[in-house]
Amino acid sequence: MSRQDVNIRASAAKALHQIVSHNRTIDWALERGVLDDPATAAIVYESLRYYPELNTRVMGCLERPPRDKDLDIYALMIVGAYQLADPAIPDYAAINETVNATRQLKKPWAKGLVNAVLRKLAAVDLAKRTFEHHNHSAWLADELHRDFPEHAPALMRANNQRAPMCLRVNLHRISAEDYRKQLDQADIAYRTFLPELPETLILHDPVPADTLPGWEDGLVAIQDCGAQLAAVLALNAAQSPLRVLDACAAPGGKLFHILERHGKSDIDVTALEVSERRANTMRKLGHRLGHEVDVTVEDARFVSTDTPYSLILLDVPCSGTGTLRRHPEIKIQLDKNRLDDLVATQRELLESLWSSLASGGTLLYCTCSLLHQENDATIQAFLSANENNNAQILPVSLPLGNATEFGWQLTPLDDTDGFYFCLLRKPAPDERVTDQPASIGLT
Amino acid sequence: MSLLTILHYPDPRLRTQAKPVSRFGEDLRKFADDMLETMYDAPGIGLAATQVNVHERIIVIDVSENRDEPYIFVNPELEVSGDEIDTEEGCLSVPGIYEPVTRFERVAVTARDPLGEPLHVEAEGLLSVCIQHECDHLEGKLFVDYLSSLKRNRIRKKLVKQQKQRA
Repeated sequence: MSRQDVNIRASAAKALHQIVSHNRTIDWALERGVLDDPATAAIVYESLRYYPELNTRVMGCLERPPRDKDLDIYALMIVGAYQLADPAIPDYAAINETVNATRQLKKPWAKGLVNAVLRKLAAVDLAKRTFEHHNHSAWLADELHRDFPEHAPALMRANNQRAPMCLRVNLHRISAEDYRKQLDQADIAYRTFLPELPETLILHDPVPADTLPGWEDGLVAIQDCGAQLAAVLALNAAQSPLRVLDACAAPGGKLFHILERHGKSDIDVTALEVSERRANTMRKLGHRLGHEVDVTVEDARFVSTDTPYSLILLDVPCSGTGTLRRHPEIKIQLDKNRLDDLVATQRELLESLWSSLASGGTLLYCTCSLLHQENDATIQAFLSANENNNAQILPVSLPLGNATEFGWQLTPLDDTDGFYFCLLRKPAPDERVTDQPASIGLT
Repeated sequence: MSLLTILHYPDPRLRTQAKPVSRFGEDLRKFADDMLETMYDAPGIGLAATQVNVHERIIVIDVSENRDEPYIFVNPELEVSGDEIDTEEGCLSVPGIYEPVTRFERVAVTARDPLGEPLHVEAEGLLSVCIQHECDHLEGKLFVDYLSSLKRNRIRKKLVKQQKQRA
C-alpha cells in the first residue's frame, strides 16, 4: 500500500469545508486526527477566526457564488486567501501549493479558477491584506458590547488570539513538583498559574498531547486553567460528607479534578451525561487517568433522586462563547435561535436539579460563556421563579476575572477561557440565613 | 539485500492466489528483508509477496512516520471488527491513484514470523487498513476492485497508457 504525500492546503480545505458547510466542529476534526499536523491546524484555526473577512475577499473575486458541490474548492480559496494575508507565507508558495491542492481534492478543473482568484488577491498591497475587523457576527458583537461596555473591542481581539495549552497534573498519580521535573527533563517550557493551584501548568508552546511525559500513564490531562478553578470553588464551598452529582459531566475534566484534589475516600460520585458518544469519551479519559467513574447516559432534566446530593456540579450546555480562541467556528455557527434554546435548557436544568440538592448543600452553576443571558440572567430567572426556596448566593472571589451580580466572570482578557461561576446554597428549612455569607475563593 | 521488481496493474500475475508458506528459516527471512527494502525504496507502507511475483503468503508493513516499526507476517489470518471506516488508499502496484475504500476499523492478525515463530497483533487505524489491503493481494485482489467499474476502467486505461509511454 502507498500513501499520498499530504498537501497541507488540501487537508486544511477539507477540514474547513466540513466545518463551514456541514456545521462540524473543531472537536470533530480533532477527534478524527484531521488537525494532527500543526501546519494544517494553524491554517484551519486562522481561516475560521477571520472567516467573515476572508469570505468577503474571496466572494469579491467571483462572478457568481460557488455551486454547493464545489464548496470544497471555495474552502480552498479561503485557505489561500488566509495565507496571502499571513506575511510569514510567501505569495508564490501560497498560490502554487493551493493551486496544486485542487488535484488532491480531485477537481483539477478548478486549477485555473483558484489561480485567478488568488492572483487577484495577491495584487493587493501586502500591508492592506491584514485583518481589520473583529470578525464576530453583528448580533454577537452587540451582545458583547452590552455585556462588556468598556472592554468589548479588546475582548473581541482577545477572542481571535491563540489560546495557550494548559495542563492539569493528575495529583492522584504524581505530585505537581515531580511532574514539573519531568517536564524540565523533556525540555518543555511552562509556567505555573496560581500558587493555590500547583497542579495547573501553562505551556509556553503547545506540544502534541501524546508527547507529554506520562501521557499514556495518565499523569496529566489537558484542561484550560480557568476551568480548573471550578473544582477548587466547588470543594471550598461544599461540606463533607461529599455526595457529588455532576449533571452534565462529559468530558469529565472538572469532576476528575475534584477527585484528584479531594482524594478517593469520603466521596461518592454520580456522573450523568446526555450524549452516549461524549459519555464514552469521558469513560476513556477516566480510564487513562485512573478514575473509575460510572457515567450514566441520561438527560439530567428528567432525573430525580431519593438521596439528595451535597454538591451538584452543573456545567450546563452553553454557547461556548468563552472558548472562541479554541473553537473559532462558534463565531460563524452560533445564532440567536440556538442561543435561545440553550438558555431554555439551562433554566430547565437548574430548576430541575435544585430539588436533588440536599439542605445545606451547594450547587456550582458554570458555563463557558461570556453572555449575560446564559450567566447572571439565568440565575436571576431561577431566583425570581423560586422565591420560596430562598436559595442563597455564595459570593465568589478569585484572583483574576470580575465579580458579576451573582457570580464571577473570567474572560480571555484574563488569558483563560471565558468561564462563569455561580455558587448557590440551599439552606436547611429551619436555618436562620445570615445576611452576608462569607465569600468563596481559592483558600 | 536487493530491490525486487514490483508488478503493475493490470498485470494478470497480480490476480494469482498465493499459497501458504511451508518452509521457514533464513532464506525466508532474507526474502522478507528484500521486500521491506523494496517497500521503503518505493516508498510505500506495505507490500505483499504477490506484488513482487512471489505467490506465497507473506506481507511486510511499516506505517510509522520514522520508518522504524516494520512488521513481517507469514501466513496471516485476519479477524476484523469494529465500525467501517473510509480511508484514501493507494497501492505500489497502482501508482499515482488514491481512492477511498471502506475497511474495518480493527483487525487481529495471527501469523508467523519468517523463522516460524507464531505472533499475534491487534491493530486499528492505518495499520489495520494496511493489513487488510495487503492480505487482499494474497487473494489476488486489488483496492481498485472496490471501486465502480467505470472508475476502475478509467484507472486501467490511464496506467496502460503510462506503461506504454515508459516502454
